[in-house]
Amino acid sequence: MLEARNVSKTYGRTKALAEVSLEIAEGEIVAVTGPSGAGKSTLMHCLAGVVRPESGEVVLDGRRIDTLVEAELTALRRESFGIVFQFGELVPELTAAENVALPLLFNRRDRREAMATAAEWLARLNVSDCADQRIGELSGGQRQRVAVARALVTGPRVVFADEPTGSLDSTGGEQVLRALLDTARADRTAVVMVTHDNRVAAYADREIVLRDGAVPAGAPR
Amino acid sequence: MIDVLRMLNRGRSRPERVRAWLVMAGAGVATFLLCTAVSLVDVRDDGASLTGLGLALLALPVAGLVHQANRLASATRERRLAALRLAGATPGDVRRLGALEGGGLALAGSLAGAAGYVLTHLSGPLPQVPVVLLLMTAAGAVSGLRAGRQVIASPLGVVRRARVPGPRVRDLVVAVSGAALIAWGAVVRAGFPIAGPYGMALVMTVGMVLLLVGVTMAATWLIRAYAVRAGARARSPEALLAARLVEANPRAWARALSVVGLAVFFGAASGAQQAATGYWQAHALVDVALLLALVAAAAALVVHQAEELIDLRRSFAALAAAGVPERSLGGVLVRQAVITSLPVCAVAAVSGVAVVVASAIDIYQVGWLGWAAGRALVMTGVGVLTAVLVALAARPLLRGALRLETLRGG
Repeated sequence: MLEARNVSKTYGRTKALAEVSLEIAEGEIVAVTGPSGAGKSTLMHCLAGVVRPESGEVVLDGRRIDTLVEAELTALRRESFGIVFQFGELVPELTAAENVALPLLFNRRDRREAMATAAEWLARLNVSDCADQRIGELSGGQRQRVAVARALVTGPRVVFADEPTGSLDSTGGEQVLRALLDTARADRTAVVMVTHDNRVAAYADREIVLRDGAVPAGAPR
Repeated sequence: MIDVLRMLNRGRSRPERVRAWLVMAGAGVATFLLCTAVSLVDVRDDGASLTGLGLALLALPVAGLVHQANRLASATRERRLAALRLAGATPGDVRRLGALEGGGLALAGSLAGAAGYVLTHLSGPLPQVPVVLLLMTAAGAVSGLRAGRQVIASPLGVVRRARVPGPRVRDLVVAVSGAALIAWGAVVRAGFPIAGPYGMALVMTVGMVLLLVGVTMAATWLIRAYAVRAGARARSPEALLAARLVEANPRAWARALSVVGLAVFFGAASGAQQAATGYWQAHALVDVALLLALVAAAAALVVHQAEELIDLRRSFAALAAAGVPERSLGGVLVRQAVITSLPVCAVAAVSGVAVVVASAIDIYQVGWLGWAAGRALVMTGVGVLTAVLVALAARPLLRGALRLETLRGG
């Protein structure tokens, strides 16, 4: 479904990715691991269409996405992808429910309908009681659950998660991870998780190890 | 303390140097205008006094811009505050450094402005120059002292106060007191015991100053009330986001728009007075002054917009990465400008007209009232348009805030 073919990316003199190729199937849970500076986040950003690779191709359902114009890429990210960041990156001025409804509203859904769908997703992730609270009033675990709900609310094909439990303690992190993966499995949504934590990677169907911007020979892929 | 300040100044970053030049230039212009305004005031010549008043009014927005400019480069300054605390400075030392820096910059700028005035008015009155110098320096010190008050600097780092103070009841009390004094003066008119018509002038002047200060302070209430209403009625995500962002921090918007509000207030008042009394030439000068005041107001808004985008950059970058178009986020900025400037400008314009009508009700005619109302409407539109144009011009700043690097490294 989602494929990287010989993708390379350089920042200044640093080669962040060197001809990386991989394929992610529908509903598959993939962990991208490796030490700091290995190119994990850059790979995720290339796959998510946030960053354009210098060479190589990124293909979604047989269609190259790295050559799309910015407006098409933005629309693709909004409709087909969801992103969970390490620190949630929710809008603190909005309530939890409004944060979850936001992607639907940007897809021009009716406000009442969007808020109702947001409430359903908050219930699925066991944070219904936080619906009317602002982000600053939530615990770290609650925030990440809201962030997961925001990433999943549009029914994306792929959810990208950048260190989704990195800001949480082990118990809170495990709960958030289970919530994300159980929901994704139930909906056949593929998940690409960037992590340096082996315990998080153990939840994935497959692990891709990166080192110095490449997948070393013999490493899991 | 001076030595510390000198060392810090040597290591100024580029944005800090821009801020320093902006503060000095603003203080210089304000000093020049105030000195000239005082020299023009003549109790026997209404036209000259009106021109002087116009110049004095122009100094207000410039002073507002100086205060706003003191908030520029806050990120660099906050890191510096934390480093100072780590080096053993007390919170009082940090505050004093801010005051010294603000006062020093204002003094340097004022000296240049005063020199400009003296050179161009060698035969004119000069006693006001040291007074204006002193006033501007004190204002700069207070501004520097207050610029960092939203920041708690500790040796371990710097945090912005999580809870931004909301509207305060005392803001409303000041505005209502001002309106009450104006109404009192209009009712009693020449019947004040002992002081007679001078009593009315005094009461009206004090009332106008209180109303002006009160309306500026109470803008927080207005903006928040309007934002709550706009948020409840929002049909688009841009409108919802804009309303909630404003609702969360109306005070910052009120501060930034105070300069626009002042320009609209005086613009509307000047139009109403023009309708009643004439003095077309003097009013034309006041209009030019107001136009320049709006430019200063726009500069103050740009500073605010830059500061707000720094605060919002992570949220906005995350939204952009999740597929929200830059155009939509630009739309949020424009809607914020409308939500905040519309109530402020409308109330400022109505207050400006009301003050003049109340003080000159005996000579007012229906036709003049129509002219005054039209002028109030135009000034409201001009104020809102200024805010919207600034929001549109902030697109490059927005683009910078949406860069992905913002989201890296926590």
